[in-house]
Amino acid sequence: MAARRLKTWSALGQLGRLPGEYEIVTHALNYTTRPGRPSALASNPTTPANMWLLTYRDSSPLQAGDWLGFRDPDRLTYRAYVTMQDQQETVVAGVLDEYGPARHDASLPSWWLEVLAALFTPTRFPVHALQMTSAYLGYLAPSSYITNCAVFGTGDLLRRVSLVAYRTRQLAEATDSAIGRTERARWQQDEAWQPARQALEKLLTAYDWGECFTAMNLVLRPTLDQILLHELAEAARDSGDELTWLLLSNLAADAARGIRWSTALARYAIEQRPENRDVLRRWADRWAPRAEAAAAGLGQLLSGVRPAGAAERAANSARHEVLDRAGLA
Amino acid sequence: MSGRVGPVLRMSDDVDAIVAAIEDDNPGQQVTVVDRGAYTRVSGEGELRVTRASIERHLGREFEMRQFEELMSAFAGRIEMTSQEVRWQLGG
Amino acid sequence: MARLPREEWYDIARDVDWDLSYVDYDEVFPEWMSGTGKVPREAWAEWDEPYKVTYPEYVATQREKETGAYSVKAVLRKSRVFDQLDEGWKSVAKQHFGAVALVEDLAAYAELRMARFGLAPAWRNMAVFGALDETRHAQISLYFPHELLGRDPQYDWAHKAYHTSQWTVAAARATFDGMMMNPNVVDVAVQLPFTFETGFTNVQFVALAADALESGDINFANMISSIQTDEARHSQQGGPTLKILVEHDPRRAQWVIDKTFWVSARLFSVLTGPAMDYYTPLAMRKQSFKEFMLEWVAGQFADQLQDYGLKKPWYWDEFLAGLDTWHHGLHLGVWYWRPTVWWNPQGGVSPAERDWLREKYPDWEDRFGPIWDVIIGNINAGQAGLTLPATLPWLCSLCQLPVGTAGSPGNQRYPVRSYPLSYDGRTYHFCSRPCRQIWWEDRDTLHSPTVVDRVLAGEVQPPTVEGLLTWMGLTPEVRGTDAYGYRWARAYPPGDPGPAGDAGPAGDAGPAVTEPSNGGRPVPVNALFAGDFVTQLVTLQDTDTVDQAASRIAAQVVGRRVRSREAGLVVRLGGRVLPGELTVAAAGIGPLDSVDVSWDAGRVGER
Repeated sequence: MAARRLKTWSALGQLGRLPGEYEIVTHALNYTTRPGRPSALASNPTTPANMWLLTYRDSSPLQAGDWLGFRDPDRLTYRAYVTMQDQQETVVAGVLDEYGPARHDASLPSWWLEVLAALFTPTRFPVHALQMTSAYLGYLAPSSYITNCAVFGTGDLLRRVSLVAYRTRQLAEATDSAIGRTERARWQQDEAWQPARQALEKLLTAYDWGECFTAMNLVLRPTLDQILLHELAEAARDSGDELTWLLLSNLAADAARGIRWSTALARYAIEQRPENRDVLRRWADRWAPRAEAAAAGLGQLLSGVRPAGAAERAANSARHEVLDRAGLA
Repeated sequence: MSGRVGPVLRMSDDVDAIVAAIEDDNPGQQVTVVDRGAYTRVSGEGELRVTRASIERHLGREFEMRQFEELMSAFAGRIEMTSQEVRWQLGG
Repeated sequence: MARLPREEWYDIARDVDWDLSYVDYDEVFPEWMSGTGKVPREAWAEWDEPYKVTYPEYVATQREKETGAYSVKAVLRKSRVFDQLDEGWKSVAKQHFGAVALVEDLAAYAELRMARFGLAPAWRNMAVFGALDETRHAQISLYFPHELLGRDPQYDWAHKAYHTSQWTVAAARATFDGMMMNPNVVDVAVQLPFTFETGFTNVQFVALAADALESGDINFANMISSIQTDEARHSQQGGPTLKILVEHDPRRAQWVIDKTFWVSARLFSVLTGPAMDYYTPLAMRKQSFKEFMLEWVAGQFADQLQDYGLKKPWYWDEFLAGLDTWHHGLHLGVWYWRPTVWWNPQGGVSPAERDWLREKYPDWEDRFGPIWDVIIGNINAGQAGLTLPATLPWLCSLCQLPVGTAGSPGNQRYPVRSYPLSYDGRTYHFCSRPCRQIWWEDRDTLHSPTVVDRVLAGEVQPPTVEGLLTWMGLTPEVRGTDAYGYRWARAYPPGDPGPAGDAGPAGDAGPAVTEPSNGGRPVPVNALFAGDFVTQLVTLQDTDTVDQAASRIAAQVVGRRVRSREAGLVVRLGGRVLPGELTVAAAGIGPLDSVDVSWDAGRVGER
């Protein structure tokens, strides 16, 4: 046995400092990206799955010398994630108890219930689309540091769909509204939803990992979440629906974490290779009009409870702010 | 085909109480218990169930059915889990 | 006020499919990825997971599990438990972490693929929990061994293994990529959660925990059995997928299960078999590997198959027979080639251990006893160098494990031999008929070079054992040695078993895997010496006489694993005896041919 004692993985030895738990359990886990591999997967290089990884991951226009240098600003590990989200779910349970939904919901005016039926309860469909796309991003990401951010983000989106489903059931029971019966129809047919639906359906086919990341995390989500989480929450509070305001504000913390790592990743990519700024910008420009159209459509659903055009403007400026933080202004 | 179904419980303080609850919930069934230290295989012929109510009675404390997952590292048969009971069966 | 019970709202959270309007369905669910095949699209709406969990339940339960696992670790860290663990047992843990940690991460990608391309929303939701679970398993399987790095550099391979081309890792990568990453998600659900996670992982994670606890490794036992509680849930993505597939395309369902079951069984024979029957200290063994496999796989999983209206795989009898031999051959191989692994295999054939092996496996003595006797004789005669390899076993083109280990010496039904196949201008060798058949059916997908293929392609330079070890990433301080420093062998009385005899003309067999030319052209062949347990790569020269070729092959085996005899040698090619004085070229021996060498009593003294 050699005299030299290892203090950490030999693969992390060049850090020049002792790694923490986050790096120990996140560093270089995806062996299909290892240097010198004959192909991503140990099978015929021409299988569809190998070709898929080659085309959409390894040959993406978004390239970096070393994706393993990226770090999640929150440095989330699995156990930190489930601990944090269990705490948040306990907060949510407390809020639900405090407001005794049956009484609270029954007290909501019908015009406000119509806003919830139009813009809140249908969100289980678009958020599921985001959940699917986020899972895809985790699969295709070129390093485990990125994958893990996407995995926890996918969990967050399932959390959001679950809470929306839960509230859909409660509101449907407690009120005499359309809630619980019309969500799919509104998502599929309501004109205000169609630009968002178009953007999200197209997002499902944005298979290049870099484009998927840019379109979803830097363009569409900042825009849509501004309306679906923030503007709707403000309107709820103004309309006396404190419960919806509190729940959406809780979900907004997940979205904010998503923006933190996504903007950090964009900056990291540009730092690694300055040409990446143009690559990311091209994608941002391609997806911005879809985001704008979605904001314009969804903004209409808040027209009775927010000043004209305010939600749409806020959504577009939220996107600009994220692109700015990403180094793409 | 052996036809035996049921949970495999990992080592914990609650194994005896769970086994007792399973015995209560399956009157007339021959419940077999094989203890291998780190795991205990509980099985019955064709079908076995356990309810939250019986578990709570034997544990003497509140128990959420989701917590059964922490105790069960495997099982034989097809499972069906609700918030009040777990059922294992074959030929379902 | 209590929360609504799950049943009140669960269906809403999984009722999230809609009709796509702006893109084609096939663009969102490409056949390559989604793989509906003959199953009509609408049929997937029936997909119903039997083991339900909600997000709030998930994070609550998982937090409790993590707290449990990490608090045991924290308590034990301060104790001296680790120092008291048996060296053989430690090898179980080292092997486990290296073989498992990064595959858990790979499984997360498989779950993410199902979460994206799965054909029912309920399935996609379950797969999100699956992806989170597998992320947990990768992390816990790294964090636990990491703290042991300072004590033993072999634990580095918990992280490093899958970044290398080490041969067992290459075998595992071929198996797992084929199970999780290459197929469409319908096949993935049948292969990974159904066949692998409900069939096999129980043996490594639940059954092995029994041995771990007995061996005093409470931390390890607690960790792996905690991991398996997640598997018990997310493996339930397999059943609903299989049910729909069986209804519309039972042939595909059966085939996908059959091939996965076979390669999994092969892989577990090198991973779990030696761990249970050789590395785990004798007094701590709860059951034999065969008994555990009969309990968990042959019994429980076979019930499951019938329950879904499927048949046992066509090779079932061969699989059952293999429970008596495969892992013994693989253990012998791993032990003999121990510098090529990152753990210290425990020989495990002391007189007492041998009694146990004979009791559990009545044929063990006839099959493997003679080879171990040669090894023991060499160790006790101070010739441990003869128990170390000078060439490579030939590796099966499907499972990538040594050819020969799907059979055993002295076994009429499943002998030590290659099952070759000529395809596209070259010869491929397989360990068994099922491996050959699976490869043939899926040859466009499975075509992936083994370590032997890569040596032959000139990728390993210099092409020596040392060159190969370096190429496989095995730095000198992690190369495996006997866990007990041969203590088990010294337990035999002096001179019994007796010396193996002359080790042959090249007793030190030289450093060459592919020997440099002496003027002729190299002819690498897949060589079997009668009585041995594997076939090996031996490089002949086309200018050698057949007799010289026989000596080269004998040098790798005689006095090493087969006792020397007063007899000459006879060489067969395709069953035909070759005249000893012909050259290799003239005798028609070509590259990649199977060449058999055996004793010829009629040629006594010629050698």
